Parts: sequence; structure tokens; C-alpha cells
Amino acid sequence: MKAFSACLKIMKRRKMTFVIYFSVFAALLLSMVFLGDSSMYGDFTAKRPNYALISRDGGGALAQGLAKVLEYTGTEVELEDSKEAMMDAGFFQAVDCIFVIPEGYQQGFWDGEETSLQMWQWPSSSTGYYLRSAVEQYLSLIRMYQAAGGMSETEMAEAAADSMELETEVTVRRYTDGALVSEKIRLFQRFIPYIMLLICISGVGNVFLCFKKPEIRMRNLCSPVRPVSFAVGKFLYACVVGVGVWVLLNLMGIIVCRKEWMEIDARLWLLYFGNSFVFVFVAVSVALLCSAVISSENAMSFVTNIVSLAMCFVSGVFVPLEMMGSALLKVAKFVPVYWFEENEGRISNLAGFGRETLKPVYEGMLIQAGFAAALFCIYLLVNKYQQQAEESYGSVRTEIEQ
Amino acid sequence: MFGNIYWKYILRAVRSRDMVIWTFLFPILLATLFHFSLGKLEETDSFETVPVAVVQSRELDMEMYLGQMLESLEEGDSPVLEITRAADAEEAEELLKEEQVKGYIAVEDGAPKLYVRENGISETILKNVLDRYIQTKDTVMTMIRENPGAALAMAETAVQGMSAQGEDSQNTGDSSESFIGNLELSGQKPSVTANYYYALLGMLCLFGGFHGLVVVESLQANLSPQGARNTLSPGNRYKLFCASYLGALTIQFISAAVSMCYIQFVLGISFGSQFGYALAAAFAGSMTGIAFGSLIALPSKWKGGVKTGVLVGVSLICSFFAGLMVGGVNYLVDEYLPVLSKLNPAARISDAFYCLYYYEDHTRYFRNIGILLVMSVVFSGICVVFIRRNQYESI
Repeated sequence: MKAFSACLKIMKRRKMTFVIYFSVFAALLLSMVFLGDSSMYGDFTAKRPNYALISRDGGGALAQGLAKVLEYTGTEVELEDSKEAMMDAGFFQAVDCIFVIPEGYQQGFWDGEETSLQMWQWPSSSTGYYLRSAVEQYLSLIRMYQAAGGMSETEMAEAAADSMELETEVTVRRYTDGALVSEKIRLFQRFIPYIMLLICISGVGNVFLCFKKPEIRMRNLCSPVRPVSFAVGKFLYACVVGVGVWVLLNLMGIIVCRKEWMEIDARLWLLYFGNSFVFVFVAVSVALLCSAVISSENAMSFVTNIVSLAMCFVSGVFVPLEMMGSALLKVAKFVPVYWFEENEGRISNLAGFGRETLKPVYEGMLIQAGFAAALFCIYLLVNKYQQQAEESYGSVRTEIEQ
Repeated sequence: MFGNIYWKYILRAVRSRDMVIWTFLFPILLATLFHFSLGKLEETDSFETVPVAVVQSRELDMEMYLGQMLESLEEGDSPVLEITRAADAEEAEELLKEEQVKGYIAVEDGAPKLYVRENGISETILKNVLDRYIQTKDTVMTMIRENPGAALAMAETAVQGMSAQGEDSQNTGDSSESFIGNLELSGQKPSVTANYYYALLGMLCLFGGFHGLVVVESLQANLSPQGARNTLSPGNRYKLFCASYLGALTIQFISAAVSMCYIQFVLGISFGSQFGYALAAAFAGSMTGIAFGSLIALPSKWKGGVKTGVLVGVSLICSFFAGLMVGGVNYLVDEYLPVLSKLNPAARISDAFYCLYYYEDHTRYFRNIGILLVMSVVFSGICVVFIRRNQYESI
């Protein structure tokens, strides 16, 4: 256990670095959970596109009616009447549509002139079609009242807006009987692999780099510690880092989303924790493999970022799996993060806790465990090669050379 | 001496495998990854014909105008609905269960009802179609009761209105009966994915801070052998710093330019029509990134690992708030924490690219460049002041 205690000592001496890494990455995870796009997990009635309504024609009956109809159909976003504000809100999808009531529009409409409401929307978007058709419907209802005659402008605008409140009865068929999982928990689970990879690679790699210095390697090679015992000690340390990260991140998740966690079945807790527990060993194996091939601190930062970002971008962490192309999904199946994300979806949509229902979840965990084992075997091979190969030893550069 | 140190820094950076990977391969690899994983994101909200089942029944036949309206929405080059006619509710239920349709419509108790299985804009559009029908029907029925003479005129207006909405499924606003005209905000088409690439370039510029760490550490006697050698030399530290800084800037700018060329000409992500301005933004961003790294490297008691940790952590957080991982975060921060957004160099860099792409005038672009230049001058100024006063009596 000499190697294990040596790793812990190095970690203790570098505690400041570890605290910085953990705090920064934990803050990143929380930001992702609170600022992430949660709309994809809402229920039927929650689908309300964001819109902005800007009136340059005061607040007449028509403008008030339009505001009422839009408020009923979507969610209003306050927007300043400037081109810059509209461009930014549209480009960054803070709003799906922008309606502008031009000056003199209302009088023109009542007089039957060819005047139109101005609308910006994302080109050929569904949300745009939805909001546009709601407004078109409102204006066509007013035209119907106008054709019938006998009503004042205010009465027509109000009657049409009231008619718009009539709704079709919608029944949502659920072919599963699983409990709905909060979107916050799902976002937390979705982003957790990225943070686990970042912390594990940094935590393991930075400590193992010390053993790569030529003088330390020479000292270790001539010491009475057997190479196997040395490797086991290092592996144990990596596992301790992994399990520690898993405990801390999940604790943080429970504290931040405690209300949401309390609402779901306790068996779901076990499945979520089990899924991330298996994944942490994937992260540990990736970290071990990275530490075997890296020989400098700068390269370590590069590898930490490229490996974690690359694995997560192709596997549905930042871009949901359903939005990815079929060709990329085929590639993603060779990345363990994909199976974590796939399992997260299965757990969140569980139709029960029977053996058959849980089978795909367990299969997903086994696949992740298989990836962890395969990556660990590759690490052992690389390690063995490095111990034997003269070139590999020669590639370690001294501080003076750097 | 100045030219010698400048050239030596460039040689050193080019010969360092780590630096070459960081500055040249990293952004190209990530941009390629973005290209493959974000490709389908542009189509997420694009309008698609909604598959729906309609249960055939006597009650449906009695709702004559409903059938006509649904048929009108099935016509045209890009129809709103793709209707499957189901013999009974069980058949429609099966189609829904097998996800062959987004929902099914059945007329029950004299009113159309919609059955769906999940949330989504397609389901919401189906509901909207039926809402329009029952609203129009209700209005006509009310008026028939109150003003029977006007019923015919109203019915004609109603039919015209509904067919106009069916024709205009692609939201062009070109339908002759449309009440809504299109509002043009920019000559460029908005893009869901462009900002991811802009934020990536922001991160690349901030990672130029690794050069900054090297520049300052090579001038601090207690941090590197080269620092000890440089401190002993009779050279002016201000000049040493400036020469190394310029060398780092050269390498970092070339890397940013190569990445931008790759993103624009290979991956097809536009920076607008003025590539020169985009390069100027990358230059200002590189200056800020290197100066930021130099500032982090200043505390001589911090170990290399701590400095790298701070640099990577701060750069990742800044990039996250510039929209690298979750689209639109930069807009939210700009709305609710504008000062933080203005002080985030990654957000300023990506915003400069966004302005070039989407805006017609350059006012905001120059404001971003100005902020970046001020930041780099302040950071470098602090570095110069502290480096030239460093004493090492107690090493």
C-alpha cells in the first residue's frame, strides 16, 4: 500500500488544486442544471412558445385583444422596442416570435384597409406556425363579427378574444405507468458524466504525473516494492477519487434538488445512483488511461478537456440524443457516455419495476461496466509497454529540458 | 535583444508538442465534433407535416365543416396534416401506441376530441387546428341565434379565413388573405449552431492564457530554471515581457486564424461577409487571453498546478457563460447580469463574431473589441508593474 499512501500524500500536498478543480466544476454543473434547456421534459399543457408583443399604436381594443389572445397561447417576454433587442432575443431563441403592431394599424384594420401586423419568427418553425395561426384566427373571428355587423369595435375585439378561450378536450394517453421525474433531476443526471470525467482525469492524472519524473521512476524501479503492488496501490487511489467524486456530486444533487428527489420513488434513487456509480468506474478507467499516456501538466489540461468534451458532445450530454443524426448515433454507441445517457432516459421513463422492465437498465449498466473493464485492460497494456519500452522512458522530459 | 527573444519564443512554442496540440489541434478537433453533433440542431423546430388519425364515424359525418377543414389542411405542397382514416377508435389507438401518428381525432358527444401520447409542438398544432374549428363554429352559431340575417356573410368569411391559414403553413405571410406580414430584422438567416462555434473560439482565445503562464513563469526566478536565468540577465524585464508576449500573441493569433478558416471554409459556419473584421476580433481576443494567463501566473507562491487549475476553471466557466455548452445562456446572462456579461472575455469575443454575422453596422462590434483591448491593457499593465519590481533576496 506504499503507492496508495504516496498518492494520498501527493493529493494532500496539492489539496488547493483539487479544491479549485472541484469547486469550479461543481459550480459548472449547477449552472448547467439551472440554465439548461428544460422545456423538453414538460407535460402537454406546458408547450407555450415565448413571444414578444410590441405595440407602436397605443393600447386600443384590438391591441388589448391581441395581447389577451397571445397571453393565452404563449408566454410573454418583455422586450424593448429596439431593433437590437429584437435581433438578440430572436437569434438566441429567448423568443420564438415577435409581433409588432405598426402605427395606425388598428384604425386601418377597422376601416378594412390592407394593413398587416408585423411578425418575426424563426424561418419555417413550428412554434411560429402555431402562434401565427392563433393570431390569424383571432383576426379572422373579428372579421366575421364585422361581416355580421351590429357590434362596436371594443365589443368585437372582446367577443373574439373570449371565443379564443374555447378549447378542444385533449386526453393524454400514457402507455407506461412510471412516475414523472422532475426535469431538474434529469438535467443533473444528464450533465453529471461531463463533470465526473473532468474531475477524475484531473484528480488522477495530476497525481500520477509525479511518478513520471525520471528520478522518481528510477527510485521506484529499484525499490523493494513489487510492480503489481505498485499498480494496485495506484488503482486503489483512482477508485477512491472516483467514489469520492460520486459521493460528493450525488450529495450535492440531493441537496440542490431535495424537493424533487422526495417526490420520486425510492427505487428510482437506487437506479440513478447505480447508473452513476457504474459510470464513475468508466471515468476512473479513462483517467488511468489518460495518465498513462500523458507526461506534462499542459498536455494533461488538453487531454482532460478534449476527452471529456468530445465524449460528452457525441453522446447526448449537451445535445439530446433525439436531436442527433443516425450516423452519429451509430458512432456514439462506441462511447460509454452514450450508454449512461441512454440508461438515464430508460430510468426516467420506467413503466414499472418488474424484472422485464428493468432488464434494459441493467443491460445498460453492464455495457458501461464492460467499457470500464476494457479501458482498464488497455491501461494495463499501455503501462506494461511503457515499463518495457526504452523509447517510452526516454520520452519523459526533465524539467531542465522543458 | 527584443527580436531575438520574440523569435526564440516562437521557436519554443512550435517545438513544444503540447503547445502545438493545444493551440492548433484542440480547436479543430472540437469544431469537427461540434459539426457532427450539432448538425441536426438547426432542424429541431422546423415545421413538419403532422401525421394524425381521424376516426370515421356517423358523428364525424354530421360535423360536415370539420371534415372539409381537415381536407383543406391536407392539401398543398407542404400540408399541415397527413391524415390516416381509421375505421374505429381501437385502430386509431393502435396507430397512436405504435407512434405512427402524433394523435387521433374522434368526434364524441357532438364535439371533436383529441388523443395524444406526449407533449410536443406537433400535438399542440393538432389541438390548435381543432380549437380553430370549435371557436369558429361557436361564433357562427352564436351569431345565427342572435342575427340570422348575417349568418351567410359570416360563414363565407369563416371559410376564407380557414383556407388562408391552411395555405400558409410555411409561415411565409404571402397568402392573399393573411393578416400578418413578415418583419425582417437582419439580412442573415438566424442560426442555432453558429454561437457554439463563436463560443468555442472564445474558449480558444482564453486558453491562450497557457502562453501567458509560460511567458510570466519564464521571468520568475523561483518558478523555472529559465526564469532564474532571465532574472540574472542584464536585460530589461519590461522588454523581456513584451517580446515574449508578442511571440505568444503571434502563435496564438495564427492558431485562431487557422481555426477560423477551418470553421468558415471547411465546416461552412459563416462569420459574415467581412472576414478581416473577424480576424481582428480573434486578435483582440488572443491579446486578452494571453494577458489573462499572465495575470494568473503572477502570484509567485502559487504552484504550477494551482495556476493551471485556475486558468482552466475560469476559462471553462467564462466559455459556459458565452454559450459553449448550453445555447442562449449568454443572452440570459446579458439580460439579468449585464455587468458580468460585459466583463466576460469569452462572451465579448463570441458576441463580436455574432455582431459581424447578424448585424449590419459595427457599433456593437467595436464596443466588444474596445472592452477586450482595455482588458488586455489592464492585465498586461498589472503584469509589467509587478514583474519589474520582483526581488528574490529570500529564495
